[in-house]
Amino acid sequence: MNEVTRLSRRRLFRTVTTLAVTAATFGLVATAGTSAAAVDFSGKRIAVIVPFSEGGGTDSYSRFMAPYFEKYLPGNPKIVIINRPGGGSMSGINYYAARASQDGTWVVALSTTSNSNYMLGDKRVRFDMEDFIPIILSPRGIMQYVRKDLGIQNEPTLKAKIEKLRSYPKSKLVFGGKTPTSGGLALRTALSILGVEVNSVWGLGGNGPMALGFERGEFTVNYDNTLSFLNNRAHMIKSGMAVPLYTFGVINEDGSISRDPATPDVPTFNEAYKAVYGKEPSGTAYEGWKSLMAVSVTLSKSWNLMRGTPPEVIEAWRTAARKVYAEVMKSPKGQKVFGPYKNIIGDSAIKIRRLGTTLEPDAAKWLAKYVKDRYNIAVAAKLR
Amino acid sequence: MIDTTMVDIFVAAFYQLVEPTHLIFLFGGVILGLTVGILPGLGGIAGLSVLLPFVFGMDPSNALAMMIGLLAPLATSDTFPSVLMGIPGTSNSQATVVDGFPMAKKGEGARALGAAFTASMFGGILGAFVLTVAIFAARPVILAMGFGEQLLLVILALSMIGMLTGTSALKGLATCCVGLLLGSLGTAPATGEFRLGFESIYLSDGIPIVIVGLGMFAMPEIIDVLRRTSRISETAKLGHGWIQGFKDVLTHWWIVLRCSVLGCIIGALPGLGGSVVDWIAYGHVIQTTKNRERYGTGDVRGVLAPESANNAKEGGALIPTLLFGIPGSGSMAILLGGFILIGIEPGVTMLTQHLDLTFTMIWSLAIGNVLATLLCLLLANYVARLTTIRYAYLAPFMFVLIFFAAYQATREWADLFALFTLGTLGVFMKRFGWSRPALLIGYFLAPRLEPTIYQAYQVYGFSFLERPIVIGLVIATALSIYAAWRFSPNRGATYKEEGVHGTSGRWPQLAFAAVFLAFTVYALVDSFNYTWYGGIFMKITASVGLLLFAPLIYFMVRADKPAGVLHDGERTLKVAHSDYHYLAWLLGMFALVGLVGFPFGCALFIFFFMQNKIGSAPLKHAIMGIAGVAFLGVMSYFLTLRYPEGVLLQFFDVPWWLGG
Repeated sequence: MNEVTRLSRRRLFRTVTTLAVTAATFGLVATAGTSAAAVDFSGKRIAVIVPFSEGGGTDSYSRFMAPYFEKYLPGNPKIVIINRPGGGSMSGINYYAARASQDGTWVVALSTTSNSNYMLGDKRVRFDMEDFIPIILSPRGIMQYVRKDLGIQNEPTLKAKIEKLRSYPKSKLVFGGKTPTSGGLALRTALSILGVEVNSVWGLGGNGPMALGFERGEFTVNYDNTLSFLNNRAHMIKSGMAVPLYTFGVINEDGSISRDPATPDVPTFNEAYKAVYGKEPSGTAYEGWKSLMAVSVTLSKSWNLMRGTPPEVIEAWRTAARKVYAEVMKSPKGQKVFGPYKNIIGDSAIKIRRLGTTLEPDAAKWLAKYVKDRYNIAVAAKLR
Repeated sequence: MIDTTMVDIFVAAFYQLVEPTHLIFLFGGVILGLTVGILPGLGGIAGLSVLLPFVFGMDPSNALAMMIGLLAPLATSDTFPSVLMGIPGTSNSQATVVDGFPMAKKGEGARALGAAFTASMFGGILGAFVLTVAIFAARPVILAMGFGEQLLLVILALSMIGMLTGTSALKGLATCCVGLLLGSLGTAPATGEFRLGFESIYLSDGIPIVIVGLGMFAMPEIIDVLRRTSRISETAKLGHGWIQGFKDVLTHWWIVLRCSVLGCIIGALPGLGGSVVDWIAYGHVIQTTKNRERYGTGDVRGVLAPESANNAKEGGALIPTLLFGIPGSGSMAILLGGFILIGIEPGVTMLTQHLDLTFTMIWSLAIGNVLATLLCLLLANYVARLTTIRYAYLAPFMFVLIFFAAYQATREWADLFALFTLGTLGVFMKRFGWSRPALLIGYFLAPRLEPTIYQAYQVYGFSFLERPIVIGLVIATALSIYAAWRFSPNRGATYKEEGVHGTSGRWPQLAFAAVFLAFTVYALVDSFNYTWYGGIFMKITASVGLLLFAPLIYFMVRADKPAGVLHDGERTLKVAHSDYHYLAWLLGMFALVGLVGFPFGCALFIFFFMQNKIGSAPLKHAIMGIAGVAFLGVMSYFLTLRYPEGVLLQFFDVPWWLGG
């Protein structure tokens, strides 16, 4: 029996019981109809499905926000975090898509990994991203940096820095990542667009081991989210070992890219492009990169509801999210979690998300060829 | 480097910790840690995730005292199920089962516990001590461990299998290859391709480690005891209690000290991960001591080694966690998540700005270990009585417990099937004498071995072999292999025809060997579907496996007198029920769970099992079943765990924590 009929049967059963009770209590039928208008979660239990293990970035993000949402949602419901890790977050999201009810009591937390696997056409996907309605979308910047042994800190201009990198053989520019299609793809395509090719080493467990390899000098090129670069790699910045190259910047609501507010004095990739080629970035390769950038930066973390949730319930969630965001940004810990990035709450989030969950057909072709040529892996990206 | 201010902070951290509020949080953490440690299959991950919702908004030093307090006793209390029931309490005490459980069967359960707890406390305190001193000097050491060094560490750990192969080295090594191949199931580390997974999402991550551990040890042991005896302790006695165990530690102080140091080092170094520390300590103690014949049959040294090492490991594992934000183990990963919620960033600041918090953690670790040991010793004689209870009362609960623990892994139905499948494999491996530790270690190490081979080669070519630490590790590996060959207890051994190694009726074991062989061939064929980097590890491992299987199966077929390669436990067993009988019971449990959900299905299973095996006492057995539901409901509530749903339950409005 499939999930839908099973659920609807259960719902039917409940509805029948409710109807019987209301019919028995003569005269209350009318009030039962109107009470749906005012959203009230009192006594309810809200499940937040986190498709990652306890302790990870998305888990901490969700656990951090939960008490604030308990405070600001109408009726102060209890929020429980439910971890369903596995399959590159696909298992947990599939579970959510099959199981979630549409009354605003089921939330799914998504991350860059979730969206990126979806965009690159992961075979394990059993859901449609468009079915999830974003409540709050929290971007995080990306910083790309190199080791000081490469000597680019001595070059005066951004153009000279990139040219210096370009002059090295591949063996000098070593990048360590998880797999060819994981997060570091945005880093590698960016460098390729600037004419710099790196030697990639795979199978690293995550950002921690990647940074450790960088610190040991086994890798010379690396990236981190800007906040953790500033916090966790502080000693490498201080000793001069990590030299910032550029950030990916942030996407504004009009689609333009501006500097990362966490590091306003570091140029963006767009600026590097302009410095090298003397014109505004454009072309299929750039479009492809921009989608990868959107998925890494803009779609860093989010909370979502199920499609079909009544509009007034969605609005109640978004109102709460605005209050949560305003209060969180007043606390030092909140500023650390969210950083100076403008969170997106409202319908505009749906459109912005598409930038990072789909690709223009030409850009998709370019990306597929990029991955096939270099790593002999086939990807079938979602088309816009 | 250590100046007076540091000493001041160190002492201040102690005084802060012995304040009543801190002590209460620490104590609370210790109690929770003891509880999750005693329940098999639950470990630091489950315990910390219970704590996480409360950590938010707490005072950092209280929160840390509680979280470390939880981690400290895990490796102590997980000894209870390992020794008394043959079920590894956490993945860190699997090796304890090998000698600890036979001790319990001989009626020496209390002694084994006493020895284990005392050794644990010693290891834990030493770990905290090493952490205090080493944390200032560890940075350069950890930074010296590049990919080449990590690779050799994994290989050194792998060579320990030589000591754990059972009666036939050939068979043990072949099993290890099967373990390595099972471990490469899932996402290929170098390319992200899905291997051997039959398009299943569940298998795209590989089989969860906790399930492999429970399948290899817990399920076969429960079934074995059910078949053989009516009670775990064959003498129905407890033995002289923990005083004797304490004396054992004094007698073998040198083993305890060495294994503690070993545990610290393995915990601190990147590359190996904490889960194998018990096996390495166990292998080490066999390699370096005399009178090896008694290992595996209830030698107290086999309990002391893993237990001192697995507690010492926590102190070591905190070093990379605090200094680099790189978790040394699964529970350390969640601890890091807790750090974010409290608002502290791991890194060099833990030695400067947050030194007070670092010392709070160290003190919590030391005090937590002492508290845990005292509590465990108090409990030991009572809990050990479980071994004298009629086993038919215990067994259904233990089946429920291990399936509950397995379900923790990814919270899918597939977890239950995975445990059943691996448990069945474990039952046959036990029967036919295939080394389960060898499979387990291969399984653990495959996901570490494969990427480090690529990484060492891609970064260094073959020049990593010229690095001094690598050369040192190569020599250590060579010595370890030599020791395995030289000190093998089986050299020149002869066997009797009527024993388990006899020649007649060898078809069942040949059939089982053929299953392993077929899997290896399948892996080799499958490896050609992937890119070069995605398939090469499987190709080489499967080829080596086939080279081992060819002579092995030849010897098994042609042996004309009893030999080490032959083994069938059924030859010496004259009992009422077969393995299949109990496997069928478990399938029945699945059917009940499928009908009425996990908690109620398990309750019915407990009820029917007792009615059938003990005799009709409907009221008493119904109470037992209800106790099972109550336990599962409470656990579900605290772990925010949704159980597998039953087909029938959808028609009723059952609370979510009862499977609704």
